[in-house]
Amino acid sequence: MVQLSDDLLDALREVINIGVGKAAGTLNELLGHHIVLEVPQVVVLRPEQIVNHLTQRPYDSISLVVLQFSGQFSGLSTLMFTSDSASKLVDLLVREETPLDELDAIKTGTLTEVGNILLNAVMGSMANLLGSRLSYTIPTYQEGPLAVLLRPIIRPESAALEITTRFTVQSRQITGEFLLLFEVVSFDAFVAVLHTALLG
Amino acid sequence: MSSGSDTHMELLDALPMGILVLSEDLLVRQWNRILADWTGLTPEQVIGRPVAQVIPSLAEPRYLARINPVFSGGPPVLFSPQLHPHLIPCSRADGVARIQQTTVTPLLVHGMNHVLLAVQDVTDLVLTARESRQLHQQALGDIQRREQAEEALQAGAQRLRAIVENTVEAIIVINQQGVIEEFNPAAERIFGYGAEEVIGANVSLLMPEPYRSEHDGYLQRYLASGESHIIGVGREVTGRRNDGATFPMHLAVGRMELGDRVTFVGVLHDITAQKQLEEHLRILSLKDGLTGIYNRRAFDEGLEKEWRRGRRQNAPLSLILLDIDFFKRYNDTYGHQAGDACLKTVARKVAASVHRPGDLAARYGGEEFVVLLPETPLDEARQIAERIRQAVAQLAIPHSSSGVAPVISISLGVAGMVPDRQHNSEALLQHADRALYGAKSNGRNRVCVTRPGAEVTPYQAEPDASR
Amino acid sequence: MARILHVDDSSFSRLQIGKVLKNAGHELLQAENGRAGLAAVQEQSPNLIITDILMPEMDGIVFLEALRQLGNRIPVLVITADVQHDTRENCLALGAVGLLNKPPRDEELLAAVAQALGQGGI
Repeated sequence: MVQLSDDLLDALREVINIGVGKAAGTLNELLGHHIVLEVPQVVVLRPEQIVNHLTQRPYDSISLVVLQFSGQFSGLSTLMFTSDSASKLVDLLVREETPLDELDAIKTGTLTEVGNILLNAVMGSMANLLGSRLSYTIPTYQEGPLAVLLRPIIRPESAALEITTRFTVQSRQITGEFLLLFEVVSFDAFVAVLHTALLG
Repeated sequence: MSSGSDTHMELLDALPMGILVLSEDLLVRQWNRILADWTGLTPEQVIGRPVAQVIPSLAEPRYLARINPVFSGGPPVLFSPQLHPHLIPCSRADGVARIQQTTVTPLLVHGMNHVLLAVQDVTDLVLTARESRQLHQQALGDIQRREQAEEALQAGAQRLRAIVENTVEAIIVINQQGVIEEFNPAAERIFGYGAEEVIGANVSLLMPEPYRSEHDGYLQRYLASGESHIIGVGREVTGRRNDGATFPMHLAVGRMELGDRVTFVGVLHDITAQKQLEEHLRILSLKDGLTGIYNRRAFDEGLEKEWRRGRRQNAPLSLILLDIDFFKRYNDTYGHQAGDACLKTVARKVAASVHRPGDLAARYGGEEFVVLLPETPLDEARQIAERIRQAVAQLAIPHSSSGVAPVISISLGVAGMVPDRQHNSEALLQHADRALYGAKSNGRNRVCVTRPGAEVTPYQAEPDASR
Repeated sequence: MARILHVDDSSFSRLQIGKVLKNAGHELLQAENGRAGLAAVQEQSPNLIITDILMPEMDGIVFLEALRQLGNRIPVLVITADVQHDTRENCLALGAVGLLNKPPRDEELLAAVAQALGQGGI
């Protein structure tokens, strides 16, 4: 697995930042509230670190939106919310009183679309800046214990970029985390494309 | 598809979903039959016109800002039925506004960037989901105070529902010989085949054995009927994956003609999750909220089923009815919480004492339990009953006010017969009830049996020999 | 040509935007955040300030406020990834002469720079 230099990490952070900035614009329109952004943190996870590192988070349950992409490099782009953040987000988006028995459907549909907005902005910004044309699947939504949801999508040969980006909606702390998962071969291809497009 | 845009038009018209194609200058380029049906606007009225004139709401910046990146190959955009239910405003014939789920994907036509809006009418799905949620709520109500069961229900049902509501349609095109011509990525995912593996193969590849031959007949009938454009007639069928596993799917078939060629478009999704949810809810509705073993409804269903099976196969069917001795006094002495705990412990012991497939232990009501034993002659059932009596005694739950024993004991009535046309299952239950009455009137903490032909005399109870 | 101070935490952005400005013949100064930016403003007296918003230590909003308090008369152009309307309004209210979204196209950047230099009281 190739290394990511500090320059490349910085460039990648900026690419993500641009994507999240776009997503904030769309979310702002949907929510009617200003979104306060923070500088994204990017950590590269090697295959042997990945499962332990990801499942150590202190969350009982998460909401997960997954977008598959393929092309010059292939992998999964995922967005995680803690169940607490997910509920707050749905509360904000679906402002009217909701019958309890419809809450799950509303939550699923709403978070899939929010995930779609955020993941599209990040992936779109990445593909644009890298000059790569990728193809994508329709995003899917799941919720449950972190380890249960992540295990099936993490392969032993996966490498990951863990991108943590916090956005605050007014006084409510709503945190989302992006996770980009690649197979090692694809990860190397990704780093090569990143290098050529951004620093070459 | 192999040929040009006419083929695409036919394909789009045959799909059981609304299809709208926009070019980068935001002009409407395709408008399929379903959309025409929904909106009353014919393709001639809208094709070539700016989308802002056809569907003004869609041209609002908040939608365009999301749709625009798709033209140049950006990720597909999803408008959920929750946040954007009426993206293309239109109503059904019954006046209900159509609830839609729309996906926007990039499309290259003659090398030019376009976007394809696929609009699914999920009005019925939403209504069905609402019904299934009500069923879930009912089941929840039954066991409201039973935390454990509730947690299991919620974790399971929520996860399943999340999956149910996120299915993506697979699209398969076949010719009149059943040869696959088109196989989209969703179909690849669902069936586990790559498009290149199945294109050119017969569609029966995707069906499990008993359905393969049926399918040919179906195709022939379809061809012979001469009906054209049967769009969106959905049904449930069984599919077969690459690994041989079978799964339930919902299939809607459309038919299109290209000159003298007839092609079929199947739009389908995997309904395994939906089936699992239904099964999960069904099983929950058959469980007793307090004890977690089957309830009376489950027993009634099981008895009917086994009665009919016994009659067909001429096999004996036995029944044990049992009752905790002086349970009311136990409640009075130790309190209702202890009473509930005692019921749970006894229920678990009774349920654990039967192992064979078809055996069924249920709470019949109050402190009464019932054990159904298919293909079991009366003598064997009596032995099983005695084992249950001993097992419950060995639990050694103190019962100071019993009067029969210092610990919780049970009385058991056993009946058995070969089901026949002269009786119904009620007869067997009555025999068991009389045997139980016999056990009680003979001093409790024992097993009594009614012999075949006992309907002549009310019952013939036998004190348990082993005591 | 002008002396331009570019304040951005991302070395990638500094590189990209710096390349365009240098090629257009401008003299370039750079800082990693608002705090370093303030020092550079006082020591180097640039003709134009270009700043990012989302930065550690001192972000662009605080930087703009500090500049205003110091009675700054140098024109400020904001280049940010944040496309929210109220972010734009907030920056303009704090005295910025313009706002571009990241990543700016080269001609868009140079036009904005030229316009900002024309407006500023150099």
